[in-house]
Amino acid sequence: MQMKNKLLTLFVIFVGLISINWHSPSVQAATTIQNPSKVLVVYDSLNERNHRQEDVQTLSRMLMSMGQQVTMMAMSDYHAGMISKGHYQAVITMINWPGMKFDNPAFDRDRHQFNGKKLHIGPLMTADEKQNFPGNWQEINQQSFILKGQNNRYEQQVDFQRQIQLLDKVTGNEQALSQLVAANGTNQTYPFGIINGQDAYLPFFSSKGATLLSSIQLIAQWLGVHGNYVPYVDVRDFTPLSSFTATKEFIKNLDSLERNLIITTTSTTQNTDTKTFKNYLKFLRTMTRDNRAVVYLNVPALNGVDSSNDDTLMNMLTQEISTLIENKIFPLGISAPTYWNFDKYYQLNALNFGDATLLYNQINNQDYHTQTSTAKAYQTMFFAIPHSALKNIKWNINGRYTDFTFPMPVTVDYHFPNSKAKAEKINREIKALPFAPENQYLYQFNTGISTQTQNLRGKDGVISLNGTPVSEIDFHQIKQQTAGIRKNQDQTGHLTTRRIVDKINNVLIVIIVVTLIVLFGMLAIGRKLYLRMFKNRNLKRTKGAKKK
Amino acid sequence: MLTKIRQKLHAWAEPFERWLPPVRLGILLLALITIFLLFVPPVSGPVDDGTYNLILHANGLREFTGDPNYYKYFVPQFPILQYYNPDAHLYLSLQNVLIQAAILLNKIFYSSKIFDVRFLGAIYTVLFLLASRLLFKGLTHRLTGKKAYLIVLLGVFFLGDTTYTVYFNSFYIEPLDFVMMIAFVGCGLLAFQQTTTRKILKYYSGQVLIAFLFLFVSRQVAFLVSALCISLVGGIIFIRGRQWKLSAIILVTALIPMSIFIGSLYSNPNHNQNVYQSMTLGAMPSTKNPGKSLAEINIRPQNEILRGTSYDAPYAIARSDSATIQKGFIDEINYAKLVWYYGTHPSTLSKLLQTGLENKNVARTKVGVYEKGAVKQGDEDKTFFQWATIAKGFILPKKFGFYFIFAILVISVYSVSCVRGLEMGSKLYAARLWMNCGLLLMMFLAFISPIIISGQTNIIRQLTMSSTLLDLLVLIIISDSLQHDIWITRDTVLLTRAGEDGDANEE
Repeated sequence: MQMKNKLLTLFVIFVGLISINWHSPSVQAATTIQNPSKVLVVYDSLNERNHRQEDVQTLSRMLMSMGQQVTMMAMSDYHAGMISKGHYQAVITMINWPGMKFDNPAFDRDRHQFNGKKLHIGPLMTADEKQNFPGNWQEINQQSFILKGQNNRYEQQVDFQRQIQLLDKVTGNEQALSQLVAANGTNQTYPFGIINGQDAYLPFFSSKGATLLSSIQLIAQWLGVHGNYVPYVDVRDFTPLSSFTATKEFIKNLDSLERNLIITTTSTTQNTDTKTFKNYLKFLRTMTRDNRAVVYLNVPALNGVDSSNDDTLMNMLTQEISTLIENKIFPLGISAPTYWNFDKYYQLNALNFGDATLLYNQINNQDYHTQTSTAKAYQTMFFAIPHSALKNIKWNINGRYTDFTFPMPVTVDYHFPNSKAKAEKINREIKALPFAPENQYLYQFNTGISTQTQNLRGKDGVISLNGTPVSEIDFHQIKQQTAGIRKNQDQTGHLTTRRIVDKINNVLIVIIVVTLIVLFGMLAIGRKLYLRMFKNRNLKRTKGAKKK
Repeated sequence: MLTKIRQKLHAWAEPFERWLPPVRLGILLLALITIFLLFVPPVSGPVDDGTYNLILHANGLREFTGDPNYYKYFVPQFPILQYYNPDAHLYLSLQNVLIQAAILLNKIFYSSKIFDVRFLGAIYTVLFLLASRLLFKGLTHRLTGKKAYLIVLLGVFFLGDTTYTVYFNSFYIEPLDFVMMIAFVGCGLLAFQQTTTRKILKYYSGQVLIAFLFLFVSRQVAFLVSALCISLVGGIIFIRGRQWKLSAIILVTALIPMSIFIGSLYSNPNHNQNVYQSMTLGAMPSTKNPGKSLAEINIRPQNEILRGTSYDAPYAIARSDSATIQKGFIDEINYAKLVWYYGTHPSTLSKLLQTGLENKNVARTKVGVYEKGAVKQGDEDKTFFQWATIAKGFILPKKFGFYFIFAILVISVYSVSCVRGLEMGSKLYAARLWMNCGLLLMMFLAFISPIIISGQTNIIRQLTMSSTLLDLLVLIIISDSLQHDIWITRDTVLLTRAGEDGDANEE
């Protein structure tokens, strides 16, 4: 009896221990920022005719890079109470098509009652918004301006403005970072954008040029985001289909750039035994030699949406990552079009792999799976500025490089060259950038990706796989192991019945061929015999009878 | 005891033969099977594989939108467009004529808002029964009694196979190919068994008409009509009378350039997809070193990474309509290169044909044969009367060489009978030889061309024509051997000669 009791208690304890969940929380949760600041952006229209979707996407990416959890919404989709229900810290009103005068009274009311940060971008400011700023509002028509950055670090002529509302000057505690100088000779100066405590105003927004730089500064200041990041450079979309001659030329110049590049690549899970794929891997290894470049894995291109809810995408990316790691290529982040971050399925099955992302604009061919209006804020998100957007900015520099810095991680974005000439061009352009070369990626950032079994991290100058620095790992062994596993899988797949049927088929063919030969042989012999009947005899009745 | 049973059977046989002669029995059986399959709920039909779009819109119909499972099971109903239809360029195609007729019937008897595809199935069934009647008559022309019933039952077994007839409830062109081919062979058989020139001409002109109509069915078949002309040569040999012979020769020789011309007139909306997949699912998988093969025909060898991918695969390295794929791959392919490549590497072609072969005889129309509301899952297939296909899957060897041997066998046997027949003064057998040669050629081309042109896309559907021809050839051979027409002797030849020299009743 005593023994029984003891065993019983042991058993109960055992069951109790098992039922406690010993597993640590999933790695997935660590990729996004815990408790990020929430921003709601309400825009009047995408104004596709004037290509304002670019601006809307750029704004969303900018906010994401600043660590904000962004919710984008068209004004017509806003219902009363959404601001309070969503617990937003900041609300942005963006007017892209003032001519249409879109309006939503519920939004106006909720925004008026909202106590958090408010920003208005564009014209058509309402009266209550204007009240937040002391000073005189002036309406200026038909005027060109030169936008001068803070401390005059840069300047650029901005697009001709038909109608714009500006404060004539800054009074009191407001902040103005950049200046608009009238280009009509009067040199009249207005603040470009203004912050007054919780409220801010930007007269216009653009995804290009000095306007972009000044907008970034204003929005960051308004949100309380501070940082001093010198831009990195990213070269996007190296694939097995990229021109290998261009790639060779590109690699030749890598060292002379003296920079860490971020190279994004779209890999594949098919045809990994071909020479092309092996060359592709070799190039990636060469590019990342001595960590002179860092690789980000690009999500696959979509030909339409795969509406199933299965694990295809996740498994594909897991396998791609595993193949890359086996071949000593260590992606430290995920790259994707912006709209993927506004899609629940893609967030969960693709973007969640890494805590570092690089998003780029894609206006056409948006194949959503489960669209959502709220994007996730990843721990490190680079804001990619296309290199063409920085053209024509006049930098006022002492020395070789500007001391202008960004409040969040930024890259200057190039597309991977598809010809030798383009590779040379990229090389020249990168060397001519006004930003100091940054080559401390692994020290400056703590980024990585992880699958269920493999955890890559780049930190403190070292890349580690599952905690061990990759320089100490024997990849040859890993490769042999996975090759062995794959080989075993191949062998079990054959059906033995198929082989039997094949053999029977062969036998059948042989039989038929032999029969045919014999048949023709017999025909020939038979004909000979038949003719012999008539050779040596005289013509008889047999022939005549036949003629009937 | 046995004699009593025998007597009873004989007593039964007489009225049986009177009321249900072999042909009528065959038609009845086919009708029963087909009607049960197509019209009795749960109704069967193939699933839209994405290509219905064009045909639907050109005819004023559209799919039910908003149904996520639309591509998973058979949908029998389509809304009729009530208002302006921007895609209504009704191109001249036989299929469209039939669909319009079906829509008309639908509007009269059912509704003017929803089109039920069973009306189209009904039209196809009627045509099918008519064509089968021609075929059965041709097959049993000189047969009586048990042999006739045997051949008819075999015909029902092969042709009533639901793998073929399930397509009647669809917008694919396969059912039209199927029915017209049966009619063509039926006319051919009948043409050569008539005694008067008038009747010969009646059936022969039917054959020519069908060949001509084939031009308007689809792109693939239009090109194949030139092979069909070889069959028609048989009729030219058989016809007596200078003026008829001449007109037949003119018609048939005119058909060949017409077929090429009209074939090339067809627009090909899937061109890019076909070109892409002819390489990725055709030429590339059959070699060990695709990069080298690509380099041999002046295509960028890096494209080997695309081997095995389909044009509309959801996840890819680059979008199919991007410059990387269009300019870097698709633009570099043309069919001349492909044919040259297959010509210089026959082993790759045979490997490709092998895979096609495995699919042709074994796979049945599996996907989504049931409607949504049926008791079973939408994905299950009905093995109801697919026994012919299943049997073929087991019996027929999977090596492509078998078909070569089969062809040689047919040609040699019929050549022998042709020569013997000519010796004995009968042109019937020569005509027969030509017809069978034409059918054989069609069978090969119908098999090879979809594989070369579009790799392995939709292969099961496109190979229907080839397997129909195989069935028809087997039926012809069996019927001929039952009629003692294969190894002809003086006695059997005499039967047909009566109508040839001295057509007393020539009109």
